[in-house]
Amino acid sequence: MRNDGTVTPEVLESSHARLSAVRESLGLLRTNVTQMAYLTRIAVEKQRAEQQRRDEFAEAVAVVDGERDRVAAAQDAARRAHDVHMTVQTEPSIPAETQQSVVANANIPTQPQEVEPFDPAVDALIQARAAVDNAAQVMGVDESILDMNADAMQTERPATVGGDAMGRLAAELDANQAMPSEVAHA
Amino acid sequence: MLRKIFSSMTQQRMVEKQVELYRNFIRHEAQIGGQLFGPVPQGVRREFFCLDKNTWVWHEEWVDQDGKRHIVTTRYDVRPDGILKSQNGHYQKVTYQEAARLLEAAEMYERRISQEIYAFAL
Repeated sequence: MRNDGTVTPEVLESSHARLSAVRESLGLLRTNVTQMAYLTRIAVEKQRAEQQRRDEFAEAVAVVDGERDRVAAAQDAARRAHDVHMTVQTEPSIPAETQQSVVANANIPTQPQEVEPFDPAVDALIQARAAVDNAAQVMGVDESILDMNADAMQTERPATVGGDAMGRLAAELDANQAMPSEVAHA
Repeated sequence: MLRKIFSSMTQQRMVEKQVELYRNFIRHEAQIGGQLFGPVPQGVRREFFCLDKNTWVWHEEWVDQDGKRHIVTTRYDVRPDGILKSQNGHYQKVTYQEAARLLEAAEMYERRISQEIYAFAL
């Protein structure tokens, strides 16, 4: 500046040069930042899309894993069922015709029933009691006596089967009531 | 011959004067630029200025508690394909956030120097 306050041409020229440089640089900066903002936005969107793709992939993998487990379990069950079937098929003891006839005719209970073991002594006692009942009914014997004898039969279990037990029963009955021999042997 | 020499010296002096003038403007700008980021602490010298159309400079000097002097000069190179930052000889590309802050500072800088230094030339 001059002493009178006016600006010299050199100062004015330098000022303009400086301002131009600053403004040009500012313009370059703006362009750069705008470009970077755009690229940053694109990068963020790309990253988000990539993350979404990864999430979807992980979800699909989880579904496939679950399906694979389910299929493996089904295959395992089928394999076990097949093994059982093969075991049944390879039983050679009964011919097919016999199996069919047995299956068609047999009245097989679905659940196994508990069967009391056959005791010949008990069977003999039951038969004897039935004979006694019949005889008593025919001859009009007092039933209380029969009950007493029945108790005796239950507590006094015969050691042997057949004639000895029947003989003892007949002897007891004879002691209480006269009984024809054919009834005792019925 | 003498006239030629005299003329050459005059031209040389004018160029030097021009360069000196330009530097003085930059020094003024740097002082204003240093104030853009808040008050400068005691004992710290901070400058921020546009060196040329492609270069912005942040310069800071301070003395620590042990009396050791520290100088950090950060230079931003504005290129068409991005902004590079150099500090202590290491170059790196600036992030978008840093570039945006630099642009904000540069816009404030341009406003302040236009009003406070070059108002007479506008």
